[in-house]
Amino acid sequence: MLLKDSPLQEIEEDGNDRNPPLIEWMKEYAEEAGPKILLPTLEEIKQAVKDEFPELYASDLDLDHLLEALGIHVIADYREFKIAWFGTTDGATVDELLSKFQDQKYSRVRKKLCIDHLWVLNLQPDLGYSRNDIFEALVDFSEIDEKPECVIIDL
Amino acid sequence: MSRRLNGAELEEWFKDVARKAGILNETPFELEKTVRLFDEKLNHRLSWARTSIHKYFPDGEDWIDRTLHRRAIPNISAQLKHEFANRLADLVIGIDLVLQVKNTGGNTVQIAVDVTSNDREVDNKLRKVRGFSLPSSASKANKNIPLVREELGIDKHLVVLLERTPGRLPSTEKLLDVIYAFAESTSLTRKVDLTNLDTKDRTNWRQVEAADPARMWQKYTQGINSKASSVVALEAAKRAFKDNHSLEAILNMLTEDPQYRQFLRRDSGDRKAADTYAQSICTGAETAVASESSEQSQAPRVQGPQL
Repeated sequence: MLLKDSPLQEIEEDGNDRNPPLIEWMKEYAEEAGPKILLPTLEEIKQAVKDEFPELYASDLDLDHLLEALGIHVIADYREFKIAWFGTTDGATVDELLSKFQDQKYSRVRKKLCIDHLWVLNLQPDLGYSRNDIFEALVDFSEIDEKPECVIIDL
Repeated sequence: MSRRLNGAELEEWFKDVARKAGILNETPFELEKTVRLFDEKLNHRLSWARTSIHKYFPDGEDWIDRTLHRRAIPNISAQLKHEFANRLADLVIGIDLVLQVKNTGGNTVQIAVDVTSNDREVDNKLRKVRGFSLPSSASKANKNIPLVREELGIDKHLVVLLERTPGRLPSTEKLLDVIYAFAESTSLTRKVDLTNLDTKDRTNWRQVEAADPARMWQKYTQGINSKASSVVALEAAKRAFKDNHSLEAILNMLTEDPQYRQFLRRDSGDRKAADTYAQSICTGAETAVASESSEQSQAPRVQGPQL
C-alpha cells in the first residue's frame, strides 16, 4: 500500500499522464533560455530518492515522470547555484505545490542532487514566454540576500 | 486554427517586417565596445547573462573574457560576432532589434525594440528599459540601462506587446505608423500595445508569405530531419496546410522543392511531371492533415506545447 501523500500515489491516481506536454514545453523553454541544463540519469535519481521515497525507488516511472513526482521539470546550472524549475499553468494550485515541495523529504532529495533552489513557475496557460522572461527572474532572484530554498516565480 | 508563434519567432517576424521596410539596423552593436560597456556599467546583468548563453554560444564566456582582456577571439566570423553581440544586448539591456528611421526633421533616429507577448511582464520591461527594477525590489541592477543605451548610440527604446497568432499581428502600415510616431515624439521610452487590433490594422500574413515561395519553403522545411525529398516536401506541405494556406500557395511553394526542379531539368523544362509530383504531395499532405485533425477531435483535450 502506498503511503499517504506519496508522490507515486498522485501519479497513479492521475493515470501517470499528468501534463506531459508541459514537461516537453519546459524542456524546450529551458533549452531556448540558454543556461546549462543538467541531465541526471535515472539511476542517479533512484539513488537520491531511495531513503525518502522508497515507493518511487521501486517504481518503474521513466526519468521525466520520476523527476516530476519530485517537483522537478528542469535543472538549470547557473554556476553560483543550481535551480530546479517546476512549471504549472494552474495558478490556483501554485501555493499548494510550493507547500508540498518545500517539505523536508523533497528538500533532502534535492540536496542529494546538488540542487540549491526550487522555483515553482506560475505560468500563464498560453505559455507565451520569450527566453528573456526567465532571465529577468534570475536577475531579480540573484539580488535577494537570503534566498529561500523554494519560491514561487510568477512568470 | 493556425499555430501560435513563440518568442523567437515573434522577434523574427518583427525583424522581417523591418528588413523589408528598409529600417532594420542589421549590425547595431560592435562586440568589443558593447562587452566593455556592459562590464563597466551593467556588470551585474552581464555576469548573469554569462550563465544564459551556454546553449547558443558554448564559447561565449571565453569570448567575453578575451574581449575584456583585449585579446583576439580566434576563429569567429563577423556574422557570429554580430549575433553574439545581439544576444548579449537582448539579455543585458532588453534589445531584440534596432530600427533606424528618419524623422520629419531629417534626423536619423535609432530605436531599440523589445518584443513581447507576455502582457503580465510588459510594464516590468518598460520599468527595466527606464532603468528601474521591479516595484518590490530595491535593486540597482538596471540603473545604468538608459546611460548604456545612449553610449551605444541608441536614441529611444520601444517595448512592443504583440499577440502570438499570426493573423492577429499588425499590418506593416500599422507597425510603421507606431514606429514613426515614436520617432517624432519627445519620449525616450514607450510601451505600445498592439493586441486586439481592428481587422483593418492586422497583417494578411498568408498573402505576404504566399507572395514569396522561396521563404515559404524555407520556413516550412525548417527542422525537418530527412534526406528523402518527398518526405521533406510532404511535411512542409502539411505544415502549410495546417497554417491554412491555399492549395495554390502550397503548389507554388513546392516549385522551390529541389525534386520539382530535378523533374523540370530531366524533362527539359516540360513541367507536366513536376506539377504532377507537386500535386501528389499536396493531395497526400491534405489527406494526412484531415486525418490528424479527425483523430484530434476524438481525443481527450490536452494542452499542447506552444514554444
